[in-house]
Amino acid sequence: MTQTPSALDGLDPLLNAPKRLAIMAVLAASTTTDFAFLREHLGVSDSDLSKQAAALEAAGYLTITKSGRGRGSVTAYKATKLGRRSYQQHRATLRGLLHD
Amino acid sequence: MESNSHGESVRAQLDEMERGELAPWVTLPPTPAWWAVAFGVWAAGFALVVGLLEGAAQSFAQLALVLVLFGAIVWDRRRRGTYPAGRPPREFTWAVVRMLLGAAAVAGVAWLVGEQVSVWVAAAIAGVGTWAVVARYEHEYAAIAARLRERLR
Repeated sequence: MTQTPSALDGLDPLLNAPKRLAIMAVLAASTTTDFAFLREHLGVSDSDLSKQAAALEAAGYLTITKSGRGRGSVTAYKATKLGRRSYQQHRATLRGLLHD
Repeated sequence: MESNSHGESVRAQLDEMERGELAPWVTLPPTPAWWAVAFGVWAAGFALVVGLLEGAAQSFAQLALVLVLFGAIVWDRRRRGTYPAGRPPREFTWAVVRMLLGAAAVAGVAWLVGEQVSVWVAAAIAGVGTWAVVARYEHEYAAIAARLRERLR
C-alpha cells in the first residue's frame, strides 16, 4: 500500500521547536554566528542554547567551532548544506500551508 | 476554529523565521566614527600605490592593502558576532546601490585626476570621497536597520 503525499511532508519535526527554528533562521542568513549573538537573539540561557545547538549538530544541521581560550574564547555556529536545505524546505511547506 | 489556530501557528513560525533571517543584517553595535575615515585612508593609500609605485613594489603594496581589507572584515565580523550572507533585505537595496554608484564615481574622478593633474590630488579625492560615501552609507544603513528592528519587535 502506498501513502499519498501530504502537505505536511516537508515539515521537519526537528524544526517545529521554536528555539531550534530561530537558530536555523539566523544561521541560514549568515556565514557564521557566535554563541553570544544567538543567546541574545533567542533570549535563552547558556545551557538551553547549548542543548538546542547540540540537537541540531547531532542531526547534521550545523557545525560548532571553538577558538581561543578563557575569557576571549569564541564558539561559532555555521549551518551545513543539509541544515540550510531542511530549513528552506520547512519554510516553503509552511508558506504552502498558509496559502492553502 | 481549529483551522484558525493552525493558521496562527504557521504564521507565528514564519514570523519567527523572518525575524531570525533579518537578525544578522539589523542587529549590530553602532559603527565607530573612525570606520569611514579608515576606509578613506585606505582608498587614498590605494591611489598612491597605483600612481606612484611600479612592478614588484606595487604588487606587494597592493597585497598588503588587500590583507588590511580582509583584516577589517574579520574585525567587523567579530564585533558583530555574526556576518550576514546572501542577498540583503530589499529595504537595503537603494542604500547599497547608492553606495556602489558613489564608490564608482569617486574611483572614476580620482583616476581622471590622477591621469590629468596629479597623483597626490587624486589620492586626496579618493580619500575624502570614500570617507563621505562610506559615512553616508553607514548612516543610511543604521537608520534602515533601526526601522526594521522596530518593525520586528
